[in-house]
Amino acid sequence: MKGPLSTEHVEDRVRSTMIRRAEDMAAGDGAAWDPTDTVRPLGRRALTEHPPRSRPLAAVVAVVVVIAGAAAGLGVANHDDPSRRADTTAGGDADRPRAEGPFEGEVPRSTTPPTVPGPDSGQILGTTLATYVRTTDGAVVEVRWFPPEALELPNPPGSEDLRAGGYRANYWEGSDQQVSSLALFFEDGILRINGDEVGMREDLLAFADGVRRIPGRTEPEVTPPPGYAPG
Amino acid sequence: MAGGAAEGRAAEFTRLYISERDRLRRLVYLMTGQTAVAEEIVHDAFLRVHDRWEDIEAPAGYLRTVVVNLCRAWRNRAALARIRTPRSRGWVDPPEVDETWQLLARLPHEQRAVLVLRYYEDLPDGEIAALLGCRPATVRTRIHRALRKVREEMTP
Repeated sequence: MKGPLSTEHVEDRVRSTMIRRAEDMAAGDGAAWDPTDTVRPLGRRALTEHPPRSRPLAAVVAVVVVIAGAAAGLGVANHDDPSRRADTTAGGDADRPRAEGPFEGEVPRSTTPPTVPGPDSGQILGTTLATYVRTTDGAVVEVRWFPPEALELPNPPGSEDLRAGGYRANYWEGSDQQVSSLALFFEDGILRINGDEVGMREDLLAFADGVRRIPGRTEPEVTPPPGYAPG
Repeated sequence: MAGGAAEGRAAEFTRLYISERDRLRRLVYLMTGQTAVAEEIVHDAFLRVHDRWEDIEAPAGYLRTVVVNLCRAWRNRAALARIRTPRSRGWVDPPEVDETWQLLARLPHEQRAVLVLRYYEDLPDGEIAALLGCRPATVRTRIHRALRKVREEMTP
């Protein structure tokens, strides 16, 4: 039944709805972040409901970046659950979890030797807030960095000291449907995954299929942060 | 010394980030209805603030202005994009909340924005006008029209 409502009543409904939905959002965030996990339940559900390859606007990848202090020299440990990752490699099935790969079994290893860090390989081009990594094929990938306190992400196993010495980043694009997360570590200015130097195209781009690539961007916009630029 | 100053600025920025991020995400969510967009817009806003950090006198206020502007820009882009399938939520609300939320979602962006800024942010007309780049009288008109639309469809 519809009928005239007072302005005050409508205002109250509008206000209470907004407050309720804002609280829902905050509560949902809290519940979604399992302190022992880095993949949101929403993202896992979305993998089967909305495969990213079927939706051009939903090229979604979350890349979790931990920047170790340049002199820290700490080991790297992957902290993702491989069973929760989608296969977003070229020709892969986004609905199907990855089966094999170098990172505890989920990411296909590059068939090419690791590239030697240099101006065209894993170069960090940005700031500590938004950075760009140039790949071996010349593409530039944007990775976003967040202060660690804001992310509420767990430290990778064995790397508790990283929180004090660096940043964590969570990359989103287009949607909150997190396809996968990936831990990247910078040691001595070199981008590594599980201690291996990264062959960017195969190990990052193919894995993180939806990472934003910046067409035509080949030069850094800003000076790399001290200690994080490859030597 | 320069390093110390830079560290101080970084710490200040981090404090701003921590204090404002979640609040702004909720604000953007209410304006856009999409948590992903909220994440994206708020981060973009922080990037802009970061880039202009030295020139900004009131970062929090600047941040909110940028967020509101980015919401408007997003809405303009979204209008051109294909309609996406709504995602399921992880929570259940009372029917009246769901109904009101849907009514708000159907409002034009400028009307939804004024309602959010008024009824969630509790901002006065003048501040809303400044954020949206219009006159206070326009704010009042938009609020009036928005409430009228909602009321016409709202179940008592």
